[in-house]
Amino acid sequence: MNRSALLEQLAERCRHGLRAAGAAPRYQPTGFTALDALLPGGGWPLGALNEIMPAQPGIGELSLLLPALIALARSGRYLALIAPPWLPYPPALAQRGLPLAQLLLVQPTTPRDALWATEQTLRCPAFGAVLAWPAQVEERSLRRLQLAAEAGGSAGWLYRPTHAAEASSPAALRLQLEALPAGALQVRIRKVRGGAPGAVVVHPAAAA
Amino acid sequence: MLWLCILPPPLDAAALQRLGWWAQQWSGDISVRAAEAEAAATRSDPSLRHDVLWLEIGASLALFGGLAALLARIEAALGELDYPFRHGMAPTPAAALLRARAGCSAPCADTAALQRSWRAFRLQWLALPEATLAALAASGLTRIDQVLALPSDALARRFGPATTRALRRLQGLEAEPLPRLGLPTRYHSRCEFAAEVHDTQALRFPLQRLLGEFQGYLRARDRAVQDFTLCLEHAHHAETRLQVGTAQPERAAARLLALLALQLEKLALPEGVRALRVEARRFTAPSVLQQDLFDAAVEQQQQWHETCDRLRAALGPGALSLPRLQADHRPERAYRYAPVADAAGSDHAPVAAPRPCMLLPEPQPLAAPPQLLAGPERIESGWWSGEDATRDYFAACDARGSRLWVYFDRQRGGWYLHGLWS
Repeated sequence: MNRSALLEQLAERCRHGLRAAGAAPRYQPTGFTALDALLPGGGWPLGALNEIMPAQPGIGELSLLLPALIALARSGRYLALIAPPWLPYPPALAQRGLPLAQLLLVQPTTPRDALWATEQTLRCPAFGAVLAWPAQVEERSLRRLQLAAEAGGSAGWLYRPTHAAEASSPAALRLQLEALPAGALQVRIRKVRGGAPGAVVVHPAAAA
Repeated sequence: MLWLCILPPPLDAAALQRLGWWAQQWSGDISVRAAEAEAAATRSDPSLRHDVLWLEIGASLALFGGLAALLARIEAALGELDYPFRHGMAPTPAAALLRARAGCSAPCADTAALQRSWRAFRLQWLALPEATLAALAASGLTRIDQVLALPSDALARRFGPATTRALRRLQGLEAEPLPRLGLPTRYHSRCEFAAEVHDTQALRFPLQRLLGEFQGYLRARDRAVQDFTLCLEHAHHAETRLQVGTAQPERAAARLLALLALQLEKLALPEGVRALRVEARRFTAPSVLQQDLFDAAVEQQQQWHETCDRLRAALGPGALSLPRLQADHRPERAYRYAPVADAAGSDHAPVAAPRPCMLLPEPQPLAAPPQLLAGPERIESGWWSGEDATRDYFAACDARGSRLWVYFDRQRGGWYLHGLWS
């Protein structure tokens, strides 16, 4: 690299840094037009915590995120899955187009370690998305995770039980999911920063 | 040629050799001589017996930006090792040793300056046999310039050929036979404590020195490590072993220390620590990526590696893994989760038939046949694997709307849940 190219690159990085500092929060389209229409910014907020509260497992709660995860991974960022209750199945993820090389599975042995790992990965700018299945989270821990996501600029998705919706949370977006017939998924927005609650039906095509 | 001679505090032979390996980051030409060897060679006054480390730095000057810059680096690095030391510098190894012994650390870079300097040094620094020194003193000769003024054949006749040889080596008229230090293929270093250490915090300082030496060794070989072991030796208990693994080749002592500190923090010592050992067997080429600060992708990869290392140090090496595909039609064998340091990519294509996002670690028997949505897909496990089985897989759903991946076991009968269409 010659000297002028190097200086130009440095200057570009400085300009980019200035833009990033004053920029509004960024969004990642969900891949579902109906859902994007309900979300301020038109997608998942990045640099923020999102809560997903499925009524039961196996209704498309992971498939709902896949279009966004694939887009984030293709932009070169890494994905972390922390303490999932079952094994994310690599052949299925590869079929849908997720680059496996950018996926990291973290299986800590204690709930405390799982929270710590979630915070560490959220804080690292290399991770574009962090999906975590915490056993129990207090509001104080949620606040830490929200701050970590803001620092790292990544999207954090926490899978939580439906009754968690009763307690308050600093998350930017909180969604409840319910299964409908024929593979459809009802997405109920319990809270969204800068927007209003609402509900929408999507088809995440989880099943064949 | 410019020789830097360092006199460390008394060390055992292994520690002296390690110091030599450490010094190889500054020079390719290193020699060490243990105090015993020195004594045997000269039969000199015991107070003059030293462990000696020589570095030929003449060839390294340009690389490190001149004499002052190189010396400043070496002195700073020696300071980090926390060894009190003396050093001397001269165009010949013997003269460098002489100056170090005399406590004269001012550099003497050329032969002319060396010739002018003899007046300042007494003969006793030359470590000649005591009898010879006594004979010289009896003749009124106490300074080096005085003996050098005498004809050498007369000197040899009166004080023995060893005396003239020592003088010739001192001036560089005869080569000093110094064995050049090679490099070992395995690394092993140890640091023993005078008293047992009970607090892991107190281990930090000696550890810093051990890792500093390790870094010097790695730089000298232009190598890096991805895993090494720190052993904590106890009096009665089996030693405590801490494995450190990094996602990419590493050799910076500060980073290695930070990773160990994470493990030490969580460690409950069974007993006081008597000694520390650093062991490494496998070395890799250093990562060139570390130097490239201007590429965002490289920077991101670096951050990823650092976070992985931190997670692994705190959670244990088994907690982190990367998904890989394997060419096998059996669902349980079509993937594996590989350790992070495993660089092998996965280039198998996934199966075309639909697969669920989540897999149960073990298929679970279902009490009743579920409501089937799609299927069957027949999968036969190979008779060669000793688990001959034929399974008919279906997409199904349960009463609450969860979508399941189930199979009917045709050999044993019965329905099993194997995955979830999450």
